[in-house]
Amino acid sequence: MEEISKTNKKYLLGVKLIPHLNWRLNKVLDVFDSPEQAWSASEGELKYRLDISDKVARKIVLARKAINIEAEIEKYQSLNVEMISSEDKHYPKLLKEISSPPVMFVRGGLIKNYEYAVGVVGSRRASTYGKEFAYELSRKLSDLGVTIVSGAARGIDSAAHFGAISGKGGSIGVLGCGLDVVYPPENRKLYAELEQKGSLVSEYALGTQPLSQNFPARNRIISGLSEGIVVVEASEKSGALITADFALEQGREVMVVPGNVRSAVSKGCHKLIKQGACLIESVEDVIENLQLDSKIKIVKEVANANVELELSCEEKAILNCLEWEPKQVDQIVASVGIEMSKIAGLLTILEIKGIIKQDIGKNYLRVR
Amino acid sequence: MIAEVESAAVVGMDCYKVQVEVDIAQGLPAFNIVGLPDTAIQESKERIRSGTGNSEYEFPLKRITVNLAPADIRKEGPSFDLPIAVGILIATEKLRTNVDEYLIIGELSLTGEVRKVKGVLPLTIYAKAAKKKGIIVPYENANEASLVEEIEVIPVRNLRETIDFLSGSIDISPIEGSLNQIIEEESWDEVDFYDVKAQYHVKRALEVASAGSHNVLMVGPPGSGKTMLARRVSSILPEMEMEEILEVTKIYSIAGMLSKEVSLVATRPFRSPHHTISCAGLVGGGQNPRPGEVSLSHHGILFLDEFPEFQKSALQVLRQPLEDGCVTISRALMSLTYPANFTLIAAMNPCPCGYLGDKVKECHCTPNKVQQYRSKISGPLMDRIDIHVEVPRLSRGDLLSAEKGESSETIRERVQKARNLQRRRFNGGKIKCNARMGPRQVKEFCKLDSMAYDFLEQAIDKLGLSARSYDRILKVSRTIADLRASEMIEMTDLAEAVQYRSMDRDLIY
Repeated sequence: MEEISKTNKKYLLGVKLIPHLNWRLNKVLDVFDSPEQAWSASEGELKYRLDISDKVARKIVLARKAINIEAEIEKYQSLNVEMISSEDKHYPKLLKEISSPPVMFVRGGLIKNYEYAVGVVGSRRASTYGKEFAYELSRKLSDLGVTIVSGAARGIDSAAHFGAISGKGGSIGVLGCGLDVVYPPENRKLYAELEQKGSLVSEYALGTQPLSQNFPARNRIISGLSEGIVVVEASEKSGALITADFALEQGREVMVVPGNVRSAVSKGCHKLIKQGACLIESVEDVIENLQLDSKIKIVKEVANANVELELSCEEKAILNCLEWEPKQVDQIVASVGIEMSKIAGLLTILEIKGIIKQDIGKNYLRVR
Repeated sequence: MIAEVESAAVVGMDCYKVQVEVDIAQGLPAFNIVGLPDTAIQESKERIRSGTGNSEYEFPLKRITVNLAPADIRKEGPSFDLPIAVGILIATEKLRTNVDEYLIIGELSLTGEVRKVKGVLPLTIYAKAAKKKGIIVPYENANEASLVEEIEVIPVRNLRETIDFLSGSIDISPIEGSLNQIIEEESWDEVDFYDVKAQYHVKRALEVASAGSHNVLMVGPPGSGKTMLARRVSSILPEMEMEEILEVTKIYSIAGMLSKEVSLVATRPFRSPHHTISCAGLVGGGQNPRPGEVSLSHHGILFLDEFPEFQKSALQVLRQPLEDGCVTISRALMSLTYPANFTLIAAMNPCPCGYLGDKVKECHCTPNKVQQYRSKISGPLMDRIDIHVEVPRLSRGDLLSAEKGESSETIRERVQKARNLQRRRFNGGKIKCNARMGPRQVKEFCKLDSMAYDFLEQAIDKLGLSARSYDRILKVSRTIADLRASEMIEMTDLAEAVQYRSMDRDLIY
């Protein structure tokens, strides 16, 4: 397809910045021959072609007057934000299969050339188990060259991004706000890393606040960019379930990580499994389900055995009483029978070795 | 005729001499007090008039002028009632002896009784320093005054007794305090770690905190026993030294918190003010400056429950005492310094609802709310807290199955040993414990070998600790090594110290 011209892009941005045109952007591009035409249309023309009231047409014209496109373009460029439209050749192919946004704003280049992507989504209020699993799964998938797509939110999303960034597949964060708005605020570091080692993507203009209505729409892009999605932890009303619905609509594979039967944050996951989603236990399951096994070679990990060797017998004793289910430090003391002054240090050492992890409330769980 | 009586008053922790001059002249009956008296002193006219009358002395119907010199310092409180009354009686020649060997303090009642006043201990110390033969104090204050040796403490019950004693018609034997006996009577601990079941890591953290005098922040859901644990910390702190006892008792005397029954503070104070306390209540001050909670917990423990709920300004004023061990209150006319060398034990919930991380009850707070709640405690204040310890709520089963703990006595012995080590290390300098080390001392005394250093770097990196925790970890690991009686800080010490930085860690991804 032919690359759209610079002028067209300029006016496309203009049209995108007018609220009343933005939300019917598909229609606008449909009825007008080019963005330029839509931008310069008279009030009567707008009214007639878009079938809108006098009032709205008037508002559009007023809004148009207030926008200085040249200045806007400069602003976007200075913030390193690129605009890609559905007619660009870089526009992700998978995304075209769905009711895709005609225009997206992008920071970081991964979006233009990633090969396979898997969405990893889940609760913002995830348990340590969920976050650990999301991190590990994403890291391993990323090591195999799979890009991880998620929503850059708290909890599972962040864990998945961080895991993926550490591998070679990189990660794409899809935002429900403008690219210059850091939400949640503590993810500033994540934003920077995603820009460097992956991509940040949003269909919203700069400065758009993270309004709650933006997020369900954002979810359709997460599943749209991916071959399939993995739901790690989701409560009954989680937004991750919306992503799963979109994935089904779009014909993507929905995979689910089970949790503890009693855990509230896994209720939604279990519901999906009951409805027939595939249950995921490992990276291999994901690769198999997406039928990527012919294209990607799985290297079995042998690290586990090595780790065991370096442990002292006191450390082993502690490990023996730990499972993935968090255990309170008092219980560890009671079952291991070493005095507290020693255990405190050993727990830190094991944690630094990456074998166990501390959870809020002085709980520990084994993650390897 | 003119009469002069010596008294004294307290400003901050110090005393100054107040010369009470009484002049009785011919003229219309009047009673004036000059020398910047406050309302309590202005009203003392009525007390003195009735008090003398009811003690069967004739109150002179002449022009009475009382001057409290030095005239440029504001005087306050009713403790000049007795010296003024004595002065009037001398001026009317009811009493014909010289009274300048004695310092006189006391409040009068309308019946002529002498009532107790504040600050008798520092006043007695002042009297001794001013080379007085003795001090005349209200009977109820006699015990605290008797803590000072080598000065006659004359307890008086009423005005008549005072005059009779001064004129030599009766003899009141000075009270001799037996300090050691009082200490024995007064030092007792009603609480003991013996009856705390489980919570092993909290007990250990508190032991480390006591050994190095580190400030502690306890984080845990309601009902997890934070208050109960904090209350027991004073039972494992080293016993108070004589010097410390006198210093603390002096503060309590100034605050008027000693009674006939409790005349000496021989156990480490434990203060737990409510979170609605004002700045002045916390650090001291007010119109008539008075020591605040930080000074009342001098050499002891200041326990602040619901830490983030305290007024922001109240938390900010804590910074100076935490840093310098004293608090300076500046007013337009004066600037006072009270000692405030305490161990801070703060307690808070992990989140606004209190149940974040609890196994049974679910928490309903958003990460944002949790963040907001925690950020109520400013960074600089957090920097002054070395040890963070999470106090989980224990299930009934855990509580029932756990064995009884170690007794406070055993723990205190270990703490004492570690403290002795520290004292030797700092060689009698201004710094007495590890928590007070400055950057220079940390550099000198917390040396790490390369392996331990690598480990610390790794820990900070891997566990996402903030850079500001670096020095805290070193200080606390120094104390942990001291508890082992080891000169060298080893990896295990550092590893344990890392455990006590839980609030620095980003447990939310």
